[in-house]
Amino acid sequence: MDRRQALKNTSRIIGAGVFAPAISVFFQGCNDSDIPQDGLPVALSLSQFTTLTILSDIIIPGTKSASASDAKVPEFIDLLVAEIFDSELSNQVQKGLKEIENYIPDSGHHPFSNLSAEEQVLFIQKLDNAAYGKGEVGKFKNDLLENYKSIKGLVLMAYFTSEKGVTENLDYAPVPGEYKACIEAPEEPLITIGNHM
Amino acid sequence: MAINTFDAIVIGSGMTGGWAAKELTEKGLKTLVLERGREVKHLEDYPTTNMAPWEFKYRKYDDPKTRKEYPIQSKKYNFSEASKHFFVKDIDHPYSNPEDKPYLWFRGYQTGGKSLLWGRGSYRWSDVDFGANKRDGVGVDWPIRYKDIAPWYDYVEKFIGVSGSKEGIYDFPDGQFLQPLEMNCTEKEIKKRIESHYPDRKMIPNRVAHLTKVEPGQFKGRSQCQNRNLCHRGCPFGAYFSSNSSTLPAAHDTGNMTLRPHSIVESIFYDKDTNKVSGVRVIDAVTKEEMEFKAKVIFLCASTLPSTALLMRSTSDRFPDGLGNSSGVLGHYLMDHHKNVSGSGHFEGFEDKTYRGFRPSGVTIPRFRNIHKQETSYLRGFGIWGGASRGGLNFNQAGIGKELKEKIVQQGPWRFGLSAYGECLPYHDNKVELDYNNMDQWGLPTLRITAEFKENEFEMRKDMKAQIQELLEVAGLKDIRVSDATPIHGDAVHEMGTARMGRDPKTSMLNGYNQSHDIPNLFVTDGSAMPSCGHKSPSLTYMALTARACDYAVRKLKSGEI
Repeated sequence: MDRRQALKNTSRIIGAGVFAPAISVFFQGCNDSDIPQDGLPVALSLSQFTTLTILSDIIIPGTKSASASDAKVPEFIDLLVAEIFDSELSNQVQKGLKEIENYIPDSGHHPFSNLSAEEQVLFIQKLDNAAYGKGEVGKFKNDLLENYKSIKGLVLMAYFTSEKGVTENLDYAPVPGEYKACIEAPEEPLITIGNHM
Repeated sequence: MAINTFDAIVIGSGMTGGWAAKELTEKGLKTLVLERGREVKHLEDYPTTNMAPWEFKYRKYDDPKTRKEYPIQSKKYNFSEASKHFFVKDIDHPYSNPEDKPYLWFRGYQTGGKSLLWGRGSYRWSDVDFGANKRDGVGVDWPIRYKDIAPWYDYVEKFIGVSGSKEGIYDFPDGQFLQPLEMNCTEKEIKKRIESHYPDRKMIPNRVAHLTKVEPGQFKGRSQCQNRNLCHRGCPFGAYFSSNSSTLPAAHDTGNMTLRPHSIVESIFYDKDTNKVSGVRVIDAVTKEEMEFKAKVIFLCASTLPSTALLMRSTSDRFPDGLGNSSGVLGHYLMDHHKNVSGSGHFEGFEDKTYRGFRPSGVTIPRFRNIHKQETSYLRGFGIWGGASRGGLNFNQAGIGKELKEKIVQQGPWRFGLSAYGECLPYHDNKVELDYNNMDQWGLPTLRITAEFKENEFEMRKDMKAQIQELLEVAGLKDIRVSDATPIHGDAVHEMGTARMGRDPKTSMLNGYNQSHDIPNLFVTDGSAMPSCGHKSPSLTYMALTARACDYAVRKLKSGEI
């Protein structure tokens, strides 16, 4: 089935919430190549995009500053997969998202998107601990751990190159003026960032 | 005066062409400046100068089309979507090299040339450099010494503005400095450790062409560096030196300059009756229309390889192997600095210290090898540059959620890094040739560039690596990593030497005033004139040599000698 058409149809039928976790499983078998017109993912499948959205917001939830999805992190990663990344990196992102989506944790019988929000956070925390050597690797395969780290890195990069990510979290100084070479740092010195790329 | 006749023609408008334009016009010469690329006007033509990363479609990533159009240029550290308009499109400007001898040719074809893209390092060369060829017998002796160029370093520094500290180092002569870009707390501590360990080494603020203070003598309208460190997008403050912000507007203000962009000089005319050059044939880069211009004196400032190629294309019965090439050295002895030896490590402590602003510079450890006598198994030497900074955003760390969000935005521990630039000897078989089998879109032969580093450079690199390792240990760093990647000719963008100066017309193209030995009204003042390459960035020396050559040329014009 043509994925974009399928999404539009479904969207019309159910009225809204095309990114609601529950429906994403229906689209896993669809073809992953479409043209963007309407805010729908381009390179990622809807289920991958949904997983990415949930994952991004677990890594960067909304606090006093924007969440990853507020900062359009999933959309930017989708754009990179569609137009910038080579096939190896694209595959790594897509495979990682599928692995996370399909992983059945010990504690449950459902794939990622069907878990409750609390269960999702617990699962990603466990995965993160395993990936960074802070917790048991258990049943997690090495591939999943590596792909997770890559996706997490992308989420953080996408967030901290977005306007909301930069201006709401960091010391954004596009024109610092004077250079102060040696000053006292506060207890928790914020990273200063300019317009460098 | 007919419309196509001038007192002087300057070919090229970059680092040296800008200076020739300024000096000749200020001395009253009606001067035509020919630039092969488009015009880039200061302030008006810096479209990305204030853009934030999120205003670029792919942010820090290159557009896929960009990578196809700029396969070579996009390798440069300062190439990005924010600066690519100041680099040539490789697909429009092909060149070739033997398969086993890669060459990286970085170019900016526009008014201002690479002066918009340079690293701004501004160093006086010393008699260690000017005397090098004579001392060890490799290459031809420089026809000048430090005393000949010192007043011209003064002259250029006052106009461009160089920040630096006076140190009294023989091989790193002091100049007319604005206040230095200060070292940060960690660098000051490392300086103490290094200088107390080595009696013959110093670590000092790097010397760069940035206005840390606006002073009389600098071109008006420039202002103090705002520490954005976004120089390569064009500086709206005019705080670093470029031809666009300084020399070209100064030349314009005299009313004596005619600047013609999109002007590719096909050849220079030689008149055998007078033994002078009389003018140039130009191809309009856009319309491909051909035209001619005449002048009493010609300054060739198109940058090393293009200037050399133009001389090679300008053949006549008298000069069948290239204009002014009775010596036969034209195109040979191509040099570049060799780099890509570097190291870094963690500095423990000073968590309560930081800095603010993006200093467009760092520190340097001036050359300490073979200064007063030959001490090592290799000839010549190298310099080391580096700096300390606190850790920025780390996208590869444990944690999720609110806790990660709060932690990741904190400045990390201090790191300190160093990397070395080494001198390359002049070798006859490192050369550039015209390739008439592969013509460019203007019907001109492309360049075939053949260059490699050899035993002396590779021997030096072992010492560069060992010294960086040792310096980082002396600095007290932890988790030290030192790396050595294969150096590629051209990568340092300090190509020079293919139309060298010298004392003997049989073994060099130019005399000590950058004047052709063969043709008195032809001057070549860009990097092609250098008989050796030192290890320090050459731009300041190019500028000083250009100003000096202009002074000489105008005196000789006035006395009727040329």
